[in-house]
Amino acid sequence: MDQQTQKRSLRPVWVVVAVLVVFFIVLASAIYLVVRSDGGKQPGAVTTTATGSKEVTKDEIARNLNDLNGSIKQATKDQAAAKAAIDASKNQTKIGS
Amino acid sequence: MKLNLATLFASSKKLYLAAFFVLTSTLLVAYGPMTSYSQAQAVTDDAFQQLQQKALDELNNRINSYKKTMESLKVDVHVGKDGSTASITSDKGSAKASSNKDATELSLVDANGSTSMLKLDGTGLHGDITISQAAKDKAKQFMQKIIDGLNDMVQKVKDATSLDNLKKLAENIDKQLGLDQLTQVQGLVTQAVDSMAGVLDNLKTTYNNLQTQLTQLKGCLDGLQSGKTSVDVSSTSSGTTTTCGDFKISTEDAQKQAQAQLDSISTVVQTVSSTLASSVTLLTALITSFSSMLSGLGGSDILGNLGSLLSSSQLSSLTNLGSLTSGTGNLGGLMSSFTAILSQLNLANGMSSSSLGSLTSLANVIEL
Repeated sequence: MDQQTQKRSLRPVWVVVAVLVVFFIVLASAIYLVVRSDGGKQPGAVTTTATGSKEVTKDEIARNLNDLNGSIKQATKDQAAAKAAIDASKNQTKIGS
Repeated sequence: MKLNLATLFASSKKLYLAAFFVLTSTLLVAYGPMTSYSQAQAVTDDAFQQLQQKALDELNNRINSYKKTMESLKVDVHVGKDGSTASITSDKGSAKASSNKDATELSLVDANGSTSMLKLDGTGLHGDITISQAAKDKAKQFMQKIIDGLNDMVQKVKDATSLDNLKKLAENIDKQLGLDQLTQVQGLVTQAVDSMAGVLDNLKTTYNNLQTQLTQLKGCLDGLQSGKTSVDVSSTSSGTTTTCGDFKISTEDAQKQAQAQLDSISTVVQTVSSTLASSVTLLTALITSFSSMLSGLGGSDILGNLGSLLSSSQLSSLTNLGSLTSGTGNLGGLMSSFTAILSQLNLANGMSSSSLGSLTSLANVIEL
């Protein structure tokens, strides 16, 4: 009789423990899912795409296009200078004759 | 007495007249050669001054022209007094190069130099095409030595005392004209190849960044299926805009079309890269060849000694390099090759301009 009473008195304790275990498992799973869906964003962290490269902004592309345009202009200028020198080399004026 | 005086007067008058005629004749005979001598001297002085002026004008013209080229190369070259070393600094770093006593001492392809074409994979274009710093420095070093040689020659022309001496200097100036011109062309073509490498680098960066944007866009469109992202529709005065995240494109078909467009640009950029790679290889070979050719002219630092080349054997060795105008001979061959490099660069620059247009249009299509 005493043993049966002792078993009954421990049952609520086990129930509470089981509920707490289940609660922590659910909480951990929820935290894991939230972190995963958010990409683990931290202030200042670089966001990555599927290919692992950083995000590129519209401003960055505009700057790239501007740099490209500038370098093409410089190349055109340099090529014109080289062409002028080659053309000038065809002129073989002698000062001693 | 009267008769005697009259006779004496008459005879002395004859004597005076005779003396006068003798003196006049002597003066006339002497004046002829003196006049001829003065005229000849005047002609010689005039020829000397004219030749000196022509020589100085030509030398100053060449020096100014090379200085402009050096300025465009944006370098500061300090050649050692003994001509054995040259330290060169540029806006892209510094390097030390040995003199061209032995052209093989200088390796023209360093660790940073690469001549392979860009490779394409799913993330973009990879690789670099650059002309080695050693090759660039060598071309600049040649230029500086030519300038130093010409400055020496200016002083020699100024110090010349006889027409014969001046004629010899003028002959030297004429005979090294081809060499001077080729050195300048080499410097300018090197600069042109270098700036084209800059164009390719910018093309690659822009291409890769647009590829990243397209990958982001694909991620946004993929998210539509899983419900993570959504398509926004907004009405403006110019019409309705449908967007996915930061991009104008909102359908998979449009994204694929943009990707196809970018892929076709990659073909052009790769062609630019292979053209540039070919130019870099040829230029490096030409600089090496020019350097070997010069060291073969008597085994001394010929560029550093240009100002003092006066012996007929040294001058004939310069002439033996070939004629630039005929396109034959060593110098002529090198000049033709530099012209070929320039044609390749023109082609590459034209393709780069067209790629710039395509990349700009694509950016306008996919970005908000």
